[in-house]
Amino acid sequence: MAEPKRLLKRSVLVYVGNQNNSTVSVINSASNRVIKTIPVGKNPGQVNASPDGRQIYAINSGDRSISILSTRTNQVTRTLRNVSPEPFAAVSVGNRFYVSDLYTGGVTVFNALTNESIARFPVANLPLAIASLPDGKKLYVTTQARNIWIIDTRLKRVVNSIPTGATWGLDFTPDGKKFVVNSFGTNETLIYCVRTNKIINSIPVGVAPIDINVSRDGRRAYVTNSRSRSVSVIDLKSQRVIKTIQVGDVPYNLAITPDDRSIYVTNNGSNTVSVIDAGTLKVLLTIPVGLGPRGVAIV
Amino acid sequence: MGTATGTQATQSLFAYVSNQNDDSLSVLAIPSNRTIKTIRVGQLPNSAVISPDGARVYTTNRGSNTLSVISTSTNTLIQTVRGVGSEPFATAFAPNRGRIYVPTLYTGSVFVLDSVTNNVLQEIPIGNGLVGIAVSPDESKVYVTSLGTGISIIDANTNKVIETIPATGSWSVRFLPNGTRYYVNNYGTNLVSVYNAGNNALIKRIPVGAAPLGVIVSKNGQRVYVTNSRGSSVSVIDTSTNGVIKTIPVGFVPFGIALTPLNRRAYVTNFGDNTISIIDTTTNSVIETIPTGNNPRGIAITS
Repeated sequence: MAEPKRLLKRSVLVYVGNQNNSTVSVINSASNRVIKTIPVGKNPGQVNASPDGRQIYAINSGDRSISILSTRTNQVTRTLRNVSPEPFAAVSVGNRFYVSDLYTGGVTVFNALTNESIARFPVANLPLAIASLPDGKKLYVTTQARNIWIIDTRLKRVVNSIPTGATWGLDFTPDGKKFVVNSFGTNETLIYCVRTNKIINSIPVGVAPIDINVSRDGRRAYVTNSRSRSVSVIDLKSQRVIKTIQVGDVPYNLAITPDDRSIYVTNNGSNTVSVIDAGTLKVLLTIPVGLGPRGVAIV
Repeated sequence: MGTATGTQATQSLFAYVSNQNDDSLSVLAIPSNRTIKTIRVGQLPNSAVISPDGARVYTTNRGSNTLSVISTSTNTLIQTVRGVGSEPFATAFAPNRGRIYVPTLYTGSVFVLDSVTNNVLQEIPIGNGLVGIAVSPDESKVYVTSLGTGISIIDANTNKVIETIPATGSWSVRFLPNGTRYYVNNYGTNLVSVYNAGNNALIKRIPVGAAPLGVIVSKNGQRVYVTNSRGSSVSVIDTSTNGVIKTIPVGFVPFGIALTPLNRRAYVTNFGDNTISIIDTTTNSVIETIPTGNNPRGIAITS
């Protein structure tokens, strides 16, 4: 007989962008197996889910395109071409999605209903990650260079910046009052107050932290430490690292299941995904995927 | 076979251009500027460098985590080097030591290769987000630029980091031929920093265009050229005054830059519009724009 506990766990789909063989792997969380491998555009980096979970956007860094996948059929339904010279990161907000370009330093805005590009505006030199405030009114962009740049989504321009060094992943607490951001050069995660843009705390993590995600209950943040083969687990109440979990080589992006029970981490250097159990804070299993996995999105 | 009568020295020049999104290396004949061959290399070739003896071209391929080695006599791929970490980003040579140095973006190490066999001999952990590299002209030190850790200086005898200079994100580093100074571009602050190579003291910060990425020093040491990726321009610096003497409009997202041996022409890859701008360095103006493959990035010219 099946364990009742297991039945309670809703199965979700995990989409992984394999940069070096131009595919997206689809993992079913119930079996934790790759159920499909979908060819997309060249060298997909980030993958993002639309807010309704119906679509996945694979940002193809190697051919200026975005592949749109249906999560119902797990097929590419449309390819947006000539997006920009090197599209890098994306975020979906309501019926818009925003795609940053690494070398032009601009953001292209798409209407998610028609998939037409409706605007383009400059942001900063070498933008890396892009995140939306829970209310969707502002986007925060981190860069390889300096500063966090704040965009007003209605005005479609930079309205403010926070002085920093090179930062990478950024995420907000569910109440929108704080954000956490990885200081890539100093091996720290910084906690900021959204209202004042001031640092509340800086927390030492592993080496070269890239991605960060806050759990839906707002209690924890998970950080990929790209040069120390680990994930740092931060308790956001005590603002301390409560565990450092060994994963694969060059852990890059991560995503948390909607029930906050599991974390999926792409290991860019070892072509695998580590699945972390949020209860025990141990790696449950390691799933082989395509080559150079990077982006991960869960629907 | 001898060269034809009246052939100028410049007619045996070739430019090698890595087309990042085509996974290829184009060979251009100079001065006709025609593409005579396109060679398949690894995925996302982000740099192209010619070995000091002129015999080989090395591309770093950040999409397949390899180096492709091309013979310049046959223009064919002769070797693929693996085991250089996640996203190798550049290549520098120490010919008298028989060494090649490759900084790797995500692994954060410099890989040391034997320049004859191309075997990986050693991995030196350095810092976070390595992008650029240069060997000092006397081959005593190797300088590595990074997104996160400043400029790391490696002792080439011991392969250990002996000093790290704090710097905001820096992309490229290039020495004057006499080894007295080096130039580093700070892509976040739109500056070129000039350092004294003797004591690593900062001499000057020179404002250039937006998001400078590529840097090259003329062989006579008189000029430094910088590609401003977000400024669609090239800044020309006079090394006697360390001032910008001209800003030349080029194509969209200029990235790589190379000079012909007598410094008469500069070739600039325009990553954003799939062209090369050819600059006459006496007038400092673009005299020709030629099409390339998709997303041209690295460029090197034979001497």
